[in-house]
Amino acid sequence: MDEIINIIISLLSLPLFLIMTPLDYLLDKIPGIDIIPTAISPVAVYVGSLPSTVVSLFGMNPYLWNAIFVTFVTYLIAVPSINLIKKVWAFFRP
Amino acid sequence: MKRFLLLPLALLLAVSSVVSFGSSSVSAASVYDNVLTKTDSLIINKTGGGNGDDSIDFSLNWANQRKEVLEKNLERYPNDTATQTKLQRFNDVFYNQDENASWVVARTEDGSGLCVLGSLDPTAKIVFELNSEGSPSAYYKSDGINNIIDFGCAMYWPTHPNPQSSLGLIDGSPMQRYTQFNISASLGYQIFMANVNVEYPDGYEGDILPDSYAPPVQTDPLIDWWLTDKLVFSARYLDNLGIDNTAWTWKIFPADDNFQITGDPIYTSDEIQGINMFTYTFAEKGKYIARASFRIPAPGLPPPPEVRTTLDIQLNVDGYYQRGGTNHCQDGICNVPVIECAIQPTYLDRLNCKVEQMFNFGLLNPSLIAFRSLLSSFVVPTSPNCSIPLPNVQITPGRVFPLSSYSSIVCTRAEQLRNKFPIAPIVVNFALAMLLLWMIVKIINRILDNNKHDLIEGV
Repeated sequence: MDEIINIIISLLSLPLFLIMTPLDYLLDKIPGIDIIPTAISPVAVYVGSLPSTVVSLFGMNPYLWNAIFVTFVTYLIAVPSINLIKKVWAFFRP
Repeated sequence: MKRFLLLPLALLLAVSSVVSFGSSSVSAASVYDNVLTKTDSLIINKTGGGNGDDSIDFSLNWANQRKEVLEKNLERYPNDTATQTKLQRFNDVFYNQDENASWVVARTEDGSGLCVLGSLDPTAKIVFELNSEGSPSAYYKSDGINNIIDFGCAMYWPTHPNPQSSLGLIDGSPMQRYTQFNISASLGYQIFMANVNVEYPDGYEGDILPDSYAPPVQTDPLIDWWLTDKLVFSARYLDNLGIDNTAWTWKIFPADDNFQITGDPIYTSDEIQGINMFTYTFAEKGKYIARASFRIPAPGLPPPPEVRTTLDIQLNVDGYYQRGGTNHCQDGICNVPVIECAIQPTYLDRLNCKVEQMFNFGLLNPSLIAFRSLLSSFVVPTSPNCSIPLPNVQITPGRVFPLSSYSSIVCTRAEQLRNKFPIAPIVVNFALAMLLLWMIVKIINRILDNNKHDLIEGV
């Protein structure tokens, strides 16, 4: 399941990485800027431990939880993508 | 014809005379030159005869091994004064750093026995003398009477479920003492170490007995370890010290960003004898110390140096494959290895790893990487762990409100509640299934709806 999520996230994040790289080149010149992302990581780790706890506390089926999460992430990507295709199709169709 | 025969004969004669002259020039300068034989290791065979695979090297731990045997004897015969005295003398000779202590450690020629002799007599020494039959011999002796103590000699490997422990087991036997002990090679002894004054005879050109043992390997155990994307930590001991002689205990400690231990161990293994693999699955990402405590044999005596018995392995459990080894360790601290993208298991992982290494600078991309990591952690493992990460709160100096203890209480109560009302998880899972169904229908409807063309719709 996490492979699917990884693929989706990678597809989503790669263009963002490319877009933000020039900005990061500038921001990297600010001394001590690396403290901010370093501070984000522990928060992300803390929040990241919560889903497992929630699933365990409520006795949820982990496969169901993962399926919902994957569907949600897919929804985030699929709907705008298909709408884009539709727009392109509507523009070119006779 | 005769001339042709004489020429080779003359040559043969000349060669043999040269050879005999050469050999006489390197022959023993003393009759005692071949009395002693030394050995570089204490490899003892289970069956005797040759250094086969079925053997253990006691070079590093002969003292510990023999002490263990004597202690086990005492456990079996707690009231036996001979056993008590023997153990006491052994400790005096080898562990209490008595300045008069001396010892000789040997193995039998066929590799089947280990021999430990010691003395607390300051006059103890090794001398070379002719025995009663007039043969050159070497004796470990002292000026006093019966001052050479036999801590187990010629103890052959018995058929026993735990032969290492039983090697040299002397069931309550009285302490053997000698005025002199013949350690000659002719009796089958090979000297491993002799920490005693040796009076070599004039012109002696035989083996010089070593008074210490420089271990051929480092005293730290060699370990390889891995961290996987499933947060599984595995460590493998590479058996450089003899697996049967090494006992392990593993502890996992939580740590802060500087790898300082922040609390009690979250996991402690039982002592594992001789195992060469350890595996632990982390419940959540974070920084940890995996402490390997090992009981390795004491290095050669004397003197017993300080031996490090722990390795602290710094672990940055972040969902990436990592591989480390003892080559990352210094003074018992093993640093987090650099993440190698090449060892990631799948192409996607390798690509992600490369991308993250390329873009991990500045502010935005590192933040995005952290966010990616957060999204990944929303996928829960098949056996989710209940661990509410609540830190303890310090109210006043010295007074701490143990918030972390409530985490386990909440988890336990929740489980009790689920067991009491088994319908509750069914209802929850049914609701989740309906939600999933609703989401799928919603997505399909969106996709099939021709009127909606907004790019950001539904996001």
